[in-house]
Amino acid sequence: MIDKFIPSRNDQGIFETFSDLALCTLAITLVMLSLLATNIGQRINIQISENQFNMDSAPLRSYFCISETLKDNSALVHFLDADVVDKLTAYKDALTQSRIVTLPAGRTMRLGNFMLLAPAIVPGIDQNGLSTLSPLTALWRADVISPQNEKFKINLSASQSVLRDLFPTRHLDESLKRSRIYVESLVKEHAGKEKYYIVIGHAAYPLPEAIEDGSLEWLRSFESGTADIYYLGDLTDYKNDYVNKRHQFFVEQGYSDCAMSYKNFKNQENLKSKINNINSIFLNDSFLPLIKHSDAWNSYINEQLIADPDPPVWFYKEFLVPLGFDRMVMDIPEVQ
Amino acid sequence: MKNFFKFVNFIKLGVLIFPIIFSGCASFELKSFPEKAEIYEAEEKIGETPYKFEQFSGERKFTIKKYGYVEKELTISSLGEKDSNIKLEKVKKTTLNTVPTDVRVVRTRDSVELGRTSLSLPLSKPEVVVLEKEGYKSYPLTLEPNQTYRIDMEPLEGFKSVYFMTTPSGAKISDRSVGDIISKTPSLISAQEGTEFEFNLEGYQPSFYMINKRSPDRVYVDLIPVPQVTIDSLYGAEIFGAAGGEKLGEVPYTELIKEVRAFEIRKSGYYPKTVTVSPESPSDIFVKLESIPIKRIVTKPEGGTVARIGQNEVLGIAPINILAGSERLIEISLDGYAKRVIGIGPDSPDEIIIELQLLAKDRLVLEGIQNATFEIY
Repeated sequence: MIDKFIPSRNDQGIFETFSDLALCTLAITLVMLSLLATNIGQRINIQISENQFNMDSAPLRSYFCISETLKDNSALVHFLDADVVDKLTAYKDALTQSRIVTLPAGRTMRLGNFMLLAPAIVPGIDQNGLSTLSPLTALWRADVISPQNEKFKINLSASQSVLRDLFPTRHLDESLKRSRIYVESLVKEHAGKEKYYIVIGHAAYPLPEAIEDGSLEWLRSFESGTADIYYLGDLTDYKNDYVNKRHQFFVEQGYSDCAMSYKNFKNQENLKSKINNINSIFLNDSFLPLIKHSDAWNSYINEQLIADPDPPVWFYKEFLVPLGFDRMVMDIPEVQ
Repeated sequence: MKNFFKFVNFIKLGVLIFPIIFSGCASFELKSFPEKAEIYEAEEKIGETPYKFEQFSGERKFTIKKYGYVEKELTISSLGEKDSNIKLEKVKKTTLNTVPTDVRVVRTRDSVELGRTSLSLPLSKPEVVVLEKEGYKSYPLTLEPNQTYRIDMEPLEGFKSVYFMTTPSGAKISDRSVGDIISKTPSLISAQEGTEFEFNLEGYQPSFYMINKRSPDRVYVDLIPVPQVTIDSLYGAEIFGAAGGEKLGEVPYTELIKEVRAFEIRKSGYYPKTVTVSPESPSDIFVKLESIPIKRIVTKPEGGTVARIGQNEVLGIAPINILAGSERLIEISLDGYAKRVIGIGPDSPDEIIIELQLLAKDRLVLEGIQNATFEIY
């Protein structure tokens, strides 16, 4: 009688097989999940550089060119987007009708202004060993029409000489693959309030004015996954005996010529108008100390990179985010 | 008395015997002109002329030899003349002519072929020969030095001798099936019946004749001249073989036309023309050439380079006259101007004006120049 309630031997065997299969599947699933979790954990553990920022963008070249007026040789520097230049140069047939390329005001600056920024710009090197910042090719020549209808002529050789003569002296490490723009922060007291500045080379841009009026628009020419804003540190605090923090470094590290040059540079009258009148690149005779004394400047950069400072909180909100450089760069040595 | 008679008898016998003894006993001398000829007796050299010898009875046979002279055989009898003066004849040509010619002359004694007729031989002594030719009976003959012979060979059974004559004479006669040249007309030829002969003479069409039983002894072949055609055209035109043949010459060009032939007449600036001539064509043909139209290419501005497509072959600098024989594409280029490719052909206007368009330059229009807000640091 009681045998009815006890499963037969065969039924019991089927049940046990099924439960074994279920247990086995569960165990394998758990192992797989744990492996997956481990892998995700490893990926998250990649180091992120907290003072190196770029845009979420495809790797692109940056093009620039120098144009000059025939009248007084005043020179302008233009930053052009790679996709525009590539489209223009892709057309191989004889051109019987002009194509007009409009360039926003923020992408054109006087050569003097560019020279102020140049010490902080370090072009990267692509797979072919070429600079990722390219002068325009000879394939594309255009007349440059200024807002005052003044005609400028693109000077290809001048553009090439900038790359050949100016930037190599700025290279800290020729193996750098990514372009870098070194940026420092500065806080000044203004009417009892703190005023934030972004310092690039010799130019200190007040925030948020420089963002709003397009003074920093040229940085968008470096809108590339391989061009980084590199934070070097804060310039606010320095001893009162010095002109600024850089001057203090040059004096303390024995770069006396550079320190002297920097001091004289800062004390010059009509400095802005002098800079506006720069129409050619003279590296050795330059009155810009960071260009003339590139060894001292490179030493300064090295020192700051070793210090590895974190940017202040306002740096993100006032500078990086409005411009779009809101992505920290993964710290992978082989793709630096 | 007895002794006296004995003496008388002895005298009588002496008188009888003496003449018998001394009548045949004599000295002989052989002389020759020229002298120093060799004297052979029974193939053995016995001396040279002049040659003295004693011969009392019988005969002696001599052969007198001298290089360059005909051998002479001589028989000397004891009763003959005592002095022999022999004049030797110089070796000249022994000529042997046969009808037909090309007969083998074979020396009988050693079967050596001396040559083929017509034949001239320098013989210093008679030679026995046999004349041999296919289709003819063999003919034995003794050739005497310095003689001329004309032998008519007798054909074999089934062969026929025919004397071929042509107008004009001198035509080569060849066996059509074999191709070998046998003789030249006029000529007597013996051949098997059914043999076909071909008669060829430069400037004449080939003629044929087949020998048969009823063929006459003399066959007369009238050769028909090959037609000669002279092609003329514009001065300086050149004649080429048709379909890319090589250059044959310039007009006026004369050629013997045995069969239908095509020629191409070319002259710069004219369309080439092909002309076909046959033996029935008139002897003078004038080929009229049609000039290729010339088109004047003018560019605005002047100085454009006119070239074939791809500029592999530059035709010149505009303004330029170019031949437009057929539809073709030309490329016009000038620094600072856009290239133009145009098609020209025979129907294009005589003057083609091509306006070149200035190359455009792109314009980089600045919305402004950055008036940046910054302090110098």
